[in-house]
Amino acid sequence: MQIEIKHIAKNFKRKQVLRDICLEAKSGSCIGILGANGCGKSTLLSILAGIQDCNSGSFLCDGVDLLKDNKKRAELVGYVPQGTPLIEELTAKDNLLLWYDKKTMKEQLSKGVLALLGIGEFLSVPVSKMSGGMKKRLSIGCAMAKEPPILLLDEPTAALDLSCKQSIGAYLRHYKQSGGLLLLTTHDVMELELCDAWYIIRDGVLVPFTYDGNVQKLVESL
Amino acid sequence: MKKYLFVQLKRLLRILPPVVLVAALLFGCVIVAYGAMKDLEEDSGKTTKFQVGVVGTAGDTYLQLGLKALESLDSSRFAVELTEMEESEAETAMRRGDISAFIVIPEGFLDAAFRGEIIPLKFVCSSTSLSLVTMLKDELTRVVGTLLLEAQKGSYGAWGAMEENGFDGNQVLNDISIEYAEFVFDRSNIYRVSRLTVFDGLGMDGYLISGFCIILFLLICLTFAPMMIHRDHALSRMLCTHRRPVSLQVFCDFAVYLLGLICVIGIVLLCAAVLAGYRASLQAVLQGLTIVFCLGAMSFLMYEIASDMISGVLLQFFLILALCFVSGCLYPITFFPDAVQKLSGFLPTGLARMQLADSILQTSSLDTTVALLGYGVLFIAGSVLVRKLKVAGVRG
Repeated sequence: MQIEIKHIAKNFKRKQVLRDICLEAKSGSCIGILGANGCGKSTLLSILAGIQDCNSGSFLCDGVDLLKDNKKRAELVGYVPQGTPLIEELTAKDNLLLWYDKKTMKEQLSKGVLALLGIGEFLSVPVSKMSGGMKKRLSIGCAMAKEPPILLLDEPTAALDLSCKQSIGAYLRHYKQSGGLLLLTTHDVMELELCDAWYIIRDGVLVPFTYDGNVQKLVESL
Repeated sequence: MKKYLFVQLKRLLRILPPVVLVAALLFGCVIVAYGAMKDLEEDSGKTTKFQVGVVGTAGDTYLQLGLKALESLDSSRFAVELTEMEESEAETAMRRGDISAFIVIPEGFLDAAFRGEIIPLKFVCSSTSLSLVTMLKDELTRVVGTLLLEAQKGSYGAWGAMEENGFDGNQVLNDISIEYAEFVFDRSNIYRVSRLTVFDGLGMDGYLISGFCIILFLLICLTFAPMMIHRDHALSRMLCTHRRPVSLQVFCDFAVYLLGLICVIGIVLLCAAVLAGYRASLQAVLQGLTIVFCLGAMSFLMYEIASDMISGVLLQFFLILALCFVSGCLYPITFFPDAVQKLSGFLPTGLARMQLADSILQTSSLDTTVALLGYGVLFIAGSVLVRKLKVAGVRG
């Protein structure tokens, strides 16, 4: 499976946030999108997830424009936004039931994605009592309900401690190895190491960048 | 969306017990506040004695007699004490608050009255005549003037007639004056009439109850804040990617919120029914539902606008205060200027108060019902728009 993002542009009134975003990626890879705050990283992901419209451009998956085919996009694309896409008053199980049917949830908890994320450990804990790491794992678990081959992650490990970053990183590595395509926005070095290709959004355009572990060089490029 | 609705209902069940508890507490507070206001009203009714200054009567025995007669006549609870004084003295006393008003009887008043002519009396009362008590004071001040004028005219007329016919009128003049005064003015009736026209056809009790009910309802809406305020719109965004559009999300959320409100109101009404023996008719229930729909939608829109708990609660609270004040829920609307009274008729809270008054009086107004439903629909449309903007408003 191959995705092609072609000439995506987005204006907020007079301000052009994204001018000409172009990108190609194949399944089993991870693309890291970097850039200064407010440069349009989250906007790009929300356009690809179908939350907001772009002014022009396309998002092709094996030739099908997912920006026009909502049904196909819902099947193929999973999206984990910034923040907590969970209902605070309810338990992890109740939240999962919003996305899974009971049978699938049980299966996934025993030997599927939910087991890999370790959600079974806190299944009956209300979200309001969960740590940041638990919430993020649960959010990813919810986004993976339809086992989408493309996963969009908006700063997935922001504000998490190192062990949480590590466990989420381990899952994402597994997802990639099993043929998934990851597109993530990040400011995090650990996440950068997960990526196979890196791009910086500068003046509304994606600029390729090679990350070799030199953070100073990365900072200067932003 | 069935799953989403189901999950939201589950969420409602989780938060309903504390909300009901808080609503019961609020209900108790409102009952206590209402009781205190009633006590205050009754106490003030028992003890209020209005001080009225009278200027320009010195040296005239007939006028003094009239004043004494008036004081002895005044057996109603709004007793009046008349004090003779100079005009400058009266002005100072009024500024100090020693007297509520004063009447200036102009020079030549008696001669003119003797000739059957009327020289207008001058009434001076405080400019803050917007309260019920002050309104009664104004009324009473007018009454004193009328009573004096008419009593004196009648008394002098009768005295003149007796003199012309060779009778000694002095003996019966005082009695005639008193009887004339009683005939001219039936104070309690005038007071009752003014009360009936002031409060949408409701007595003070009904008015206070309807106003407090609106406030109570809006405060109950406030208790749903933890459930209704979205810290971020991440869930909405994720639902959008799964082809669950914002409009459907809002309808589901509002339906659940409305159900929660109806449950809480139902429990409160049930308590009222048990405690006070109140039984609502079907029409009253339907009218109540239109109020719940409209004000619930208004509060829902406020929750959509709010970005966090503190701003959400403050926004709602100050909106409740402002709207309830302008709509006459905290204070009788008739004491507001005409422009505010007209505005109140267009505000959701004002319409809700009128609808509640209708349900208490067992009448109905199609205009009010349609306006409330229209407002409700507008608020829901506004909520959809606000959430769409917030969900799409991702920058970074």
